[in-house]
Parts: sequence; structure tokens; C-alpha cells
Amino acid sequence: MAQAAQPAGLGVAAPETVRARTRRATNVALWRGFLVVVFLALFGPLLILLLFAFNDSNVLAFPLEGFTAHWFVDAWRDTLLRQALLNSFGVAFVVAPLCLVLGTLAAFGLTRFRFRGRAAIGGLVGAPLILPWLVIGIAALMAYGRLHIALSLRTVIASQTICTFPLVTAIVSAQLFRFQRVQEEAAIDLGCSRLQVLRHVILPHIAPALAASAIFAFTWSFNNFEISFFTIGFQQTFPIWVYSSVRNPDHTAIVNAISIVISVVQVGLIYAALRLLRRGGGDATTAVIPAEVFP
Amino acid sequence: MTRRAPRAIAVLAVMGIVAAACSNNGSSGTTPSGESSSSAPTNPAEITGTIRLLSYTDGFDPDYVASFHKEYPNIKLETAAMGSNEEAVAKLQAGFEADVINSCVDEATLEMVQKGLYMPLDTSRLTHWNDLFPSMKELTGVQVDGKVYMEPVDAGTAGIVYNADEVSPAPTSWKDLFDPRWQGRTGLEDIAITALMVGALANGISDPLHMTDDQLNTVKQFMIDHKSQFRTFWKGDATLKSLFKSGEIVISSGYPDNANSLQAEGVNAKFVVASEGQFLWACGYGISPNIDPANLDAAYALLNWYASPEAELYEAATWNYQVANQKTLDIASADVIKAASLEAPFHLENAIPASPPENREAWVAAWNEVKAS
Repeated sequence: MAQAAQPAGLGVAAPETVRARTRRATNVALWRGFLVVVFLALFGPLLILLLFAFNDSNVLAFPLEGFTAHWFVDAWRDTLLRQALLNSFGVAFVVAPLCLVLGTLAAFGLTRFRFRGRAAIGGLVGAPLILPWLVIGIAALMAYGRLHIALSLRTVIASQTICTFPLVTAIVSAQLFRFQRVQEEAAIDLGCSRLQVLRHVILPHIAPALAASAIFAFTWSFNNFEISFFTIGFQQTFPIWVYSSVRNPDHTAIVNAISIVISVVQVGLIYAALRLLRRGGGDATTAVIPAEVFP
Repeated sequence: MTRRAPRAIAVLAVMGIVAAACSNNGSSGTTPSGESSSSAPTNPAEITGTIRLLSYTDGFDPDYVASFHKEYPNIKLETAAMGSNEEAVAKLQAGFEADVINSCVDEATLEMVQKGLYMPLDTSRLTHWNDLFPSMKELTGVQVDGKVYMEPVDAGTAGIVYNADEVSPAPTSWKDLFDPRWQGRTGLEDIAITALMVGALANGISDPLHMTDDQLNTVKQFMIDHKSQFRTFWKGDATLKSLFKSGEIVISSGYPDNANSLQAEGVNAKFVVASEGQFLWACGYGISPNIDPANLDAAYALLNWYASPEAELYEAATWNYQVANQKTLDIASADVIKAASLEAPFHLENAIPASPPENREAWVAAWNEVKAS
């Protein structure tokens, strides 16, 4: 840009240009350094985990003892761990679709309709995003206790759903706010029914947000410790297994190994979710309705 | 020493507030008959039921309880782990239900009895009761007002663990944890009672469990003034091992099996008893008053299995725990007897009894202040 600003015809760079280049190079270097620091802060612990997952010792300390993959084998053979993973997947596979439905309905209600108490309801829906999950978990435990509801994976699912669907509401609402309602009106003018508008105009627009929400809801549920810890009975989810195992020196390396597997999968999922959200942001002004929709 | 696991302070702070506010005080719960049942089955295979066990993780370690499942094939064991007794008390008071509950007398056994979380036990149904060391039966909370509430199972000592390659001469006193030579290379377990007792003994207070408020404040200030002495307040054996092996610390409060496991990792770690006294801990199991009477036989079966010489031997050989059942000595090897000090639990020299201080909450608050300073 500095060169583009040069007067045409000058064959030699002016001293200001050199300074500008130096400044620009310095800025780039600083920004890169900053990025490296941020990435190290974000992913450094994950890298350490990766390193020790392959270390031939169950003690988290340097120097490394040698390369091994047997912690992964041990993790696979651990029946309690396998059951905990199954429980976590089971819970997350129920919580994510439930949140998707509840969150999307709430988003539609809050963004499309004007009614008395709308702000209050919006606040209530969003409250679990602000309240500490620890408090929610303890409150849920006490509520289940008073109601004589036996703690189980079902109570975990119910509690997690309440705390996770507002996230879906927030994501879908943001997408709906960007949606130009004139497209709906145009579709109706062209003869579409309400359902056809939903199917061919609205859903394609919010589909990336829905997919991203589902992924986020899944990972939130899978990773949740606080709520699960207080509302689960005598089963274990993966985070609770980690909590129970991490203090046992014999389990440290197994925790590292399985954690790295879970982390890699989840980073991939989050990346996919972000890609989906980005895709969804690009086309808020047009909708393509298939010709067969119209009579 | 998973049993002496750390507490999640933040969790407990919130739990304590909420549980205190909303406690159902448990004492009003219906108490199923713990009295002798003439129809109690004697054949282990005939005993059926489902037991919900709330315990430290070693209490249901798969290898440990394998013999229980073998002996009692028709008892289903559902397990949940506790991070500390405080956490368990708060959780139980908030509505969590368990049938058999693990506790440690130096932590919250008495509190659990007072809050109605344990029912009185019928000692005629505790098949190993008469074989237990008398000193174990006299521990705080095991018996209250003439009634037995907990069957003691295991115990141990706490002292000083150090790296003999670095620390020379060998430490002899809790004061050695405050030696300027080890500034920034010292560890201390993040348990309020343990940490403040160390501070008290290092300050010459000979009866730390009965400190006055002034003494407690003095110790708190001493710990705040010497906070830089400590590399960290560790939580859990895994952390302690890492700290020693990486060389971040060379001396710390700890347990005999810490030194043993570190030696296996190539660290020349030693355990030594401090001259001012060694801390004792002891844990066991009791039954909830809210247990379904149909599961009572199974609950007693579990308690009996925990106190059996075979199960006790596993604890002594695997974790170097001291045991409650004297008959364990009949089947233990000389090495195990020596390694786990099985001969005379709680008759050790300079022992500080396994008992919580009366003003325990003040201790916890003081320790939190030290950590926040």
C-alpha cells in the first residue's frame, strides 16, 4: 500500500517508504508473535497432553522416559472408562437434538413474535448462560431430592438440556435477526404456504446455524462436569471419570491418552461448526425456491 | 493415597453455602431397623440387593472389589466417587442418596453421625467387629453415645517426604519444611487441617487440634508470611509425584506410599516421621438411615467384606494402608506387615490422633485466607 501511494515515475524509493516498510514488517512480526503467544496459551496444554500421552511413564514430568502407545491400549481396555464414554455419548446424543428443537422454537418465538413479557421470557431463557453451572447443578440436585426423583442419566439429560438449549436459541436467533423477512413475504406473494416458506426459505437460511448449534450443544453436553456431577446417580460420564481418576497416579497417563483423543475429535467438531456458521453468514438476502413448489 | 484426595475448594464453598441453607438435616429420616435380623442369610450367594456406594475411588477400585463380587455374586454394586468428605456431606444433605457411605474420622465421620447421615449399626451383624483393633473402635465418630455408626477399615500416617539426593541431612522436624534452603521447592498438601497442623507444630504448638482462636490466627499469619516457601499446595498423589520427579519440589508433607511410588519412578524419595508428631488418619464405612430395608443384608455384607482379613490384606499390600482387622496379620507376609505398619495402628510414637478440630470451619476459613493471600 505504501508503494501504491508513491507518486508515479519515481524510480527510487523515498526514505519514508523504507520507514513505512520497516514499520509494516515490525507490525507483522509483532502480530505474528502475538498470535504465537495466543496459540500457545490456547493449545500449549493440549500439546503437553499429547507429549505425555506417548510418554512411557505415568508421571507428568520431564525428562520423557521414551515413546509408547500402550496408554491408548490401556484406555481402551478400561471398562469403567468405556462405560463412562458410552454414557457421555448417550447423553450428548439425546441432549443435542432436544436442545436443537427447544432452542430453535424459542428463537422463533423470541425473534418473530411481539408479546407481553417477551423480554422477561428472553431473560429467563438466557439465564442458564449467565448462572454458574455449579449453582444450577446443586439447585437441580436439591430439586430432584425434594421431588424424590432418583438420580440417573435421565436427570443429567434433563438438567443439561435446560442449560444448553439457550445456546442454540442464541445462535439461531442471531441468524434469524439477519434474515430479511421480505423474502418470506415474497414467497407468500408467489403462492407458497407457511410450511413451504419454512421448508424452502427459512430452513435453508438457518441450516448452517442449526448444524453449528447441534455441534456446540453436543460438545457442551459431552464436556459438562458441574451439572452432571450433581445430577447423576451411580453412573459416570467421561468428565466425572476424569475427575475420579486424575488423582490416582496409576491413571494419569490413561487420562492423558483418552483426553487427547477426545480433544482432537472435539477440536475438529468445533472447527466444523465454525465453518458452518461462516457459510451461513454469507447469504442472508436471497432464497431459491424450487420451481415445483409453485402450482 | 487416593483416599486423602484433595478438595475442590470452589465447589465446596458453593456447596457449603447452599447445603447449609437448604439442609434437610437428615436426622429426621426414617431409620430402618439395624437391629439383629434372625432371618439374615448366612450364605453369601443367598444375599441379594443393590448397594449404592459413595466412597473415595479406592473404595471401589475394580481389582480391590473383585473378591467382593466373587463372594457375593448377587449383590449389585453401584458406585459414585467423592472428592472429599466435605463434598460428600454437602451432596448428601442436598438430596443425593447412597446406601453405604465412606468417611474418615479425621474429616467428617462425627459430622455425618451428627447430621443423621449414618444409622446405628448392629455389631452382632458385623462379623469382624470383635477382631478389630480396640484403638480403631475408639476413634472419633466410630461410636457416639454408646452406639456404633461406622466400621473402621483402614488408616495411615502422614509425615515428611523428601528427595534424599537433594535434602541432606534428612529432615527431622516439620520446621524443615520452612528451611530457607528449600524456598520455592517445598510442597504442602492442600488440606486445611493438614496444612495448618504443620504450621502449628512448626510454631511449637504441641496440641494443634485444640488451638485457641489466637493460636489459629498466629499460625495463619505464619503461613501467609512463609507462603513463598512453597512451590505449590498440591492436590492428589499424581501431582505430588510429578512435582518430585520434575525436581520442582524436594521436600513436602506426604505419606509413606508416596515415597514408595516415587522410588519406583527412580526418585530417591524417603518418608520420615517428624519429631513433633505424625498425623494419623482412619476411614471406614457406615450405612445410611434411608437405605431400603430390602438392601440392608447386602449393606452389612459389604461392610463385612471391607473388614475381612483378605480385603484388608489387599489394602495393606497395594496401598500400604494400616488395617483395622487384627487377623490380617495372620495372613500378611512379614514385608507387608513392616511396610504397612500393621502391628499396632494408632499406638505409634508421637501420634496425633485422627480427629477433626472442634472449630473445623474456622480452620478451613483460615486456610482459604492463606491460599488467597
